[in-house]
Amino acid sequence: MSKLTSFEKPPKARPGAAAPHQFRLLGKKVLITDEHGRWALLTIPEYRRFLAGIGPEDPLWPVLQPRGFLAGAYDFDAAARRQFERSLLSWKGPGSHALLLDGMDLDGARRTVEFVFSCPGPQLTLELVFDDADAVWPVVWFVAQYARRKGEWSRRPVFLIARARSMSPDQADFLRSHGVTRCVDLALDGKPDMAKAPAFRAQRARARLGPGAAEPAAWARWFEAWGFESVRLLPSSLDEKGAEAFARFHSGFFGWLIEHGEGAGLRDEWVLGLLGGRLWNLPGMDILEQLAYDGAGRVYTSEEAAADAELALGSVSTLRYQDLPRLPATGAVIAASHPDDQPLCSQCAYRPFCAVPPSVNKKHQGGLWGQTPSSAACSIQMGIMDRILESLNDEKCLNLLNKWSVDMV
Amino acid sequence: MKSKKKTAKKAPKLSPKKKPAAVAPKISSLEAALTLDVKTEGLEPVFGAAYLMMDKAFVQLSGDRAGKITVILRPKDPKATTPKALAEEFLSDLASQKVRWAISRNNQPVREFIAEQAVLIANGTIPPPSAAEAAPEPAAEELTAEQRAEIEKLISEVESEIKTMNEKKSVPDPKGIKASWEEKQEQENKA
Repeated sequence: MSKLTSFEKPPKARPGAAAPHQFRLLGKKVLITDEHGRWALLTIPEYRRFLAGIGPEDPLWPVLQPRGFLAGAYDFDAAARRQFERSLLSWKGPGSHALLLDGMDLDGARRTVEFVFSCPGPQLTLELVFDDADAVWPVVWFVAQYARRKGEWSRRPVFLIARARSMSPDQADFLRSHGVTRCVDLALDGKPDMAKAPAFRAQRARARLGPGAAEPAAWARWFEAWGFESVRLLPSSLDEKGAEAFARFHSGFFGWLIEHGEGAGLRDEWVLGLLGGRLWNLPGMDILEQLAYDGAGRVYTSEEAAADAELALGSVSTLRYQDLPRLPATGAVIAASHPDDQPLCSQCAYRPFCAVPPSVNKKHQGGLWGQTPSSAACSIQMGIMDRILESLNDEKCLNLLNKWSVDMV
Repeated sequence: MKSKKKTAKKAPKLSPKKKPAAVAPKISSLEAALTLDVKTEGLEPVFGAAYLMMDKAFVQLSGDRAGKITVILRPKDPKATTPKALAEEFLSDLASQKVRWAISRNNQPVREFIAEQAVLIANGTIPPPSAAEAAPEPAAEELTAEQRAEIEKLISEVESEIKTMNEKKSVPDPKGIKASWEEKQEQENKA
């Protein structure tokens, strides 16, 4: 069976019965989603009936009609509003900016922050990425202060995140007192040692799975015990093996969150990113969600694209935000990132939630468009979505998502 | 009512539909070849099913877009799958592709209308869904002289911060008196 899944005995679709939707077989059920993220889980006979056409007397009618799945009772105005809200027509600009501070000097930092604030958008997130805080502390210090002031001057909410492998307690204190969220880069291998503290106190973690990473539930407990608020798990490698290992680990991790999440403060950044339901909510989505800046002041389409000359957009000293649409790289990544333009994604039930950043395709498959059927990044995101959708019949899962302000009803 | 029924147009008697011959793949030890009638199967479903095989097979398409297309499937990893299994999977996907394309074709006018309406909302021809969406963008900022002075001050503060840092580094603390909880944890872990 292909990634999209297929029926043993396919049903027949009668014109005028079903409104636009995609389907996916999940076990013995059929998941249907519309283009704007509304969904329903049907049995196979129910799905056959739905495609053949149902009337108001059918028990499926009250389930499917309010969710906009019936062609005969379709709310065109509401659908147009949702299309506007969720499509690129509502995009305001990249909200996330990764500043790769290693090798950046103060003048470069100043120009970079100024470029970031030339980008439109209702709010800005600056992620300061560095390895060891000692090596770049003056730049971190300056960016934290300057970005805060620029936010006040432009009257825009600014969120600052400092992501590092190590920093001293003084440095962590400084960042905390300046409202900077701290994120620690971790490598997970084997089982956690509950008594072992992370390198520094942080609210967020980016945790790359090692080949031997085991006991996801115990790791979730470890994150919870050390006061983390959210975690983004990363696969050990972007190949078939890495994707399978990631899917197993993530499933266990999310399972723990479903069981204990209501009482715990820990959140899964993958789930939040995907269920945001907009291309510009997907972490690392080139230009739409993120721009990245390296130590030499070069601007890239995303952090994943950093050091790729083909995805360099220019220099913070000379580039203007309004020039971006005219650059060939911009057109190329935006076209390649849209699920409607990808043969597999355009038919996928997770199309309203998911897309693989073109820079990830380029890095791992050699081209911006990638080959979705063999893409490990696609398998990973599909696996996460399968896990979430399979759990939506569980009230605990719905309560957890509700707590995270995700509306999946 | 009765007469109405009588006058209603009678459906023309259809000659028994010719069922398309089941696609019989030609299978060898290296590959599977399927010849498909484009009119029966549809061009898009054939392309769609071929694309979906790309993770397991090398796919070669040849023939006439308006007539018959031959699909040749060769396993990428002969140990993982066989040409026969590939052919079966292709046919299964092809059948589901026909359903997907039928749903898509049936709804093409709906999707076009919705996209058009959404563009009209974006253009302001139709009112936006909420006031928040219509909120004006923050104006591009021009720095005042005061703000420029503050940046200069900030930079001089960074310089003094660097000085303090360097001074701190030079004060020895062999017993780790100044070490915080996190540093002590790290030392204990190392031990």
